[in-house]
Amino acid sequence: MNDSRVRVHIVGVVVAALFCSLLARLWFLQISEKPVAVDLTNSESRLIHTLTSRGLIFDSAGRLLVGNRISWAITADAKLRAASHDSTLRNVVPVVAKLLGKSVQEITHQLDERVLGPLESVVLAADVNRVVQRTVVERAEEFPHVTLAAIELRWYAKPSIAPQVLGYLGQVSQDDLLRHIDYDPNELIGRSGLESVYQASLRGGPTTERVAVDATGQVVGDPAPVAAGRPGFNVHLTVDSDLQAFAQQALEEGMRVARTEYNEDLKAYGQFYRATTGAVVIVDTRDGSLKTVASSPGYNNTDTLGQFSALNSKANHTPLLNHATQELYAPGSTFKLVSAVASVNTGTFPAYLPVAQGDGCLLRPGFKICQPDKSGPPVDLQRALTVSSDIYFYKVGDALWTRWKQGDHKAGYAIQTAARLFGFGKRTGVDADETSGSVPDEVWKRKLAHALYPKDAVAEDANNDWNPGDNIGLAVGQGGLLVSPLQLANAYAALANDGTVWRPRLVDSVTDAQGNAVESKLTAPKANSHVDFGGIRDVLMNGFAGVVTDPKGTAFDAFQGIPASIGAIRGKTGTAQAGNKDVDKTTKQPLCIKTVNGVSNFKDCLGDTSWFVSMYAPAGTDQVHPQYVILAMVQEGGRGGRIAAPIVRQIIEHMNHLTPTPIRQLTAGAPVAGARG
Amino acid sequence: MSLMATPERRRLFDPHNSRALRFDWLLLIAVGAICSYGLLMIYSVARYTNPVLKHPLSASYDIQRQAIALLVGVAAATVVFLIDYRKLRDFWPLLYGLSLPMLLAVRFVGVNTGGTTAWFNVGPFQFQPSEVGKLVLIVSMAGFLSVHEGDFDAWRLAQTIMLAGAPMALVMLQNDLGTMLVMVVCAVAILVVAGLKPVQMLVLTLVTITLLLGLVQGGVFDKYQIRRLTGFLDQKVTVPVEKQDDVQFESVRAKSAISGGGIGGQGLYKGKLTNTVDGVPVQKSDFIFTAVGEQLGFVGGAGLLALYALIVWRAWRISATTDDRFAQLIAIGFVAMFTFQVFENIGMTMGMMPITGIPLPFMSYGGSAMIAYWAAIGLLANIHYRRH
Repeated sequence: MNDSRVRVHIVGVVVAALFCSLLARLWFLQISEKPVAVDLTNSESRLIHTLTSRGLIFDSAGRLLVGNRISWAITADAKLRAASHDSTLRNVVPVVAKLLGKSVQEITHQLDERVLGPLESVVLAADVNRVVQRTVVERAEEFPHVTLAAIELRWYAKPSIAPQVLGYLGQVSQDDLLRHIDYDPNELIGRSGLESVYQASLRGGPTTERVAVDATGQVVGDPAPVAAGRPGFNVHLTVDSDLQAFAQQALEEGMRVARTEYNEDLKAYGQFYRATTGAVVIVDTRDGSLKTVASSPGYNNTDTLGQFSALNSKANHTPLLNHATQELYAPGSTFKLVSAVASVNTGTFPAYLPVAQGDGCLLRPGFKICQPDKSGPPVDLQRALTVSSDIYFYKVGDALWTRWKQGDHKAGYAIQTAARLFGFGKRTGVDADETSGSVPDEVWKRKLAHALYPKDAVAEDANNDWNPGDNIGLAVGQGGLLVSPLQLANAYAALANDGTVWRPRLVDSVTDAQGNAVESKLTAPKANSHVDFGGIRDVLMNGFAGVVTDPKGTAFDAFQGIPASIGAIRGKTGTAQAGNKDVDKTTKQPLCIKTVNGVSNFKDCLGDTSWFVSMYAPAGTDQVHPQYVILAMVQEGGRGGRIAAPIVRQIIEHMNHLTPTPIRQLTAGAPVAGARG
Repeated sequence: MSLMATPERRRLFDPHNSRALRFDWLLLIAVGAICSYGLLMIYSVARYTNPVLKHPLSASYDIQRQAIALLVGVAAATVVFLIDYRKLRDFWPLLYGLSLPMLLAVRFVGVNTGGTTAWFNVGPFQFQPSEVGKLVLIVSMAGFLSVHEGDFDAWRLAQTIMLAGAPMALVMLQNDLGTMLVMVVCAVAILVVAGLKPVQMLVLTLVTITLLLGLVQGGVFDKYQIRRLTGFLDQKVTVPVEKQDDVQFESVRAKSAISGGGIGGQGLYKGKLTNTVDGVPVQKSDFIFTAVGEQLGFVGGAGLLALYALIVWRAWRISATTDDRFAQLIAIGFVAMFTFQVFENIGMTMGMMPITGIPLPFMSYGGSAMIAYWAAIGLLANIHYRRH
């Protein structure tokens, strides 16, 4: 062999050695060594949170209102989510969409909504029917990364009872996940009402386990427990679901009747009241606990899963809003309670001083306000409340404004001060969604003018003065004053219990699975403020008693024939103006009517808000300090005495196991002159 | 030594001096088997990019492209086979001269893929000139060294280095480190057989090491290249997936896929890491061996190694038996090329070698490489057919 042949053989030996080393390495890696994946699992682990059952909600009588049920759901894991971004599984999404009767965009949106970990999945559809269940299980090959899973959903004993109070659940959002590190991207979270306020108690603690995963994210081995789960705490309401159910029914009946009544201001045009929204609030005046919080329109908590935004439109009068706590209305004459306290406290009119009503009008330079159906002999405070004299309170408002103008802001703002003391213009602290409302004063007026004329300094200047009319309107619960029905009921509760403005409460206690009470600062009774009625409480109480018992009282008709044995009923009606009632001087047509091409549109003609707020002392209880405040409100319902008061009467009858008097029967006659207010 | 291979025997068994028996059927069978193997593995891996197929084969875009490349490769091999290789002794300067501007041009008008600018767009296909450049380098060095006989002095060595260095430098300009390494290995093998003296080899090694250190210190290589070359060394460190850089990520997954294969593999189309969307990266090209290892196990992997060994043996055998110096040097070049590519590619999937973008011959997805290797096979068959 020559030199080059030797060299070729040397190369051959090197080549053979390389091939042998490859073979040896292959043998070593595949056969003699443990699979590499095992090493990986030691350094790779993930936490799995398994949700425990959400807490239950019971009413005051221990009746289960909200529980849990099993629902069959279709879920997709993180890999299908990736499908929408690369070509890999793109074909699966349309097939899933077709099966679930959804659009591809919907499914893609659901998949993209949240960032999912490798072991997490997203619920594409809950409560799927048997066909869908079978399809996914039997044709699993066509649906990679899609699973039939049992998930827990809310179960409602009476889905239409107090849905706004109980609230609904929604999918956890990305923001929630940032706030709550231990939340599962797939879980449901309280979005409104008690489900939201008591989310932390109801949710409970998830079971947490640690699992080892290999490089692909596949689970290897058995999970190791990290934290034991704890079922959600149970919530016990102060609400009596039976009373609540009846109140909702009475409210609906009142609203139905209102819709058959002519709007008094538009009778000539054949317009009826529209009774768009309504509320009933029943407060236990002894500690502020709420027996009933009804809001109309209502909804069915079961039917509405996932369709809340579509349901909650303005055209539907926002059924998801709790109109008893979140919506604001002018309280009208019911506010005279506050004006009366302000009047006596400032010495404007001593309680026993009769005040002339004259022709029912108050005349000021360049300004005249009238209550046309009120004229007659002078009235003192008690009488003014019974017959709901506006002129009496016009004069209160006017006198206080004059003192304000003279620089005595303390006395000048007496109504505002009293209103805030009663809890108006701020949150009550109730464990529900609520709105604070507004109590108007000079600052409020300036802000309003600025908001109305942001670019017109002249108009803003002309409208930002705190005028006599503003304070006069406030004195009779009109103008810029806006309150929630709950605030109003709570103010009367303070009168009933002689001074304590309680924080209204919906929940009596929160308990763990064993029934032990769990500490919660939300459940304990708490006084927000105290009102000193001085010597006039009797005057006020008698005035409100007269509303029901005096033939001239504004709710006398509504309570005629109710047996005296049921106890003492006191109350105050309100007929609050909601829209502009000005009339065109030449055509005499109300300005709210918009006539286009001969067709009249009454959309802007808002009917009066019908109020009745009563203090009811059942027989055998303290008759001086009524136990309950029962409030009814129907927006665009007309006179307080004709719609709201009969609703309250029905509720009182129900509480005494009497047959409720049909509201139609109580409103059979024409509106009684002098009953307005 | 095969009995069949000696001229006496051939004459004995083949009185008509049959052309059919002069053809290297073993080589062709080995290459054909690897190509079929490769198509099967690419199909297995590519299934996951087209999961819902009515006609599994018809819709597989990857398979179609690879099959076209295979046909073009066979055609190229046929052409190379038909032209007597001895003519290359005179023509290699022409080939060499054509290859340099092509390698240079791709730097400026080429397509950039993963940090490397090594591809021309040719219609729907891409063409990688450095694959052809490897063949031209081998042929050119063989041509140069076979003609100039005599003592292998320093001047001759310098000339050879310049000849080999020009295309290497151009490939390096494309940031194609892998191909340059293959070229270096081929050049070294040819130099050794051509008569490189031990002293020269020692000097050359020292110079190379010094040069390399200088280049690394001088920052000529970017961090990415250095990381790729050294990354495989620290793969023993277990790093959580989120914190792995791409080198560790590829290396750890590749190794874990192969180690999951065991003796018989997890089964065709059933690889945990190779039949999934997010398993081993670039598996149909650089990491195709992971699919073999995981799905077909040691049996499949060793079988493939045997087929490669067969090809390398056929080439080496020419080098060891031919009297034609030119043929001997070409053949040893191809021995080095195939051996190093197989060793580097399979070695990197098993964590023995750094991760570089070197394809596994006839297996990896990629047209230029397939065509170039078939041309190399054509040339080997050509030499085998005409070497006496």
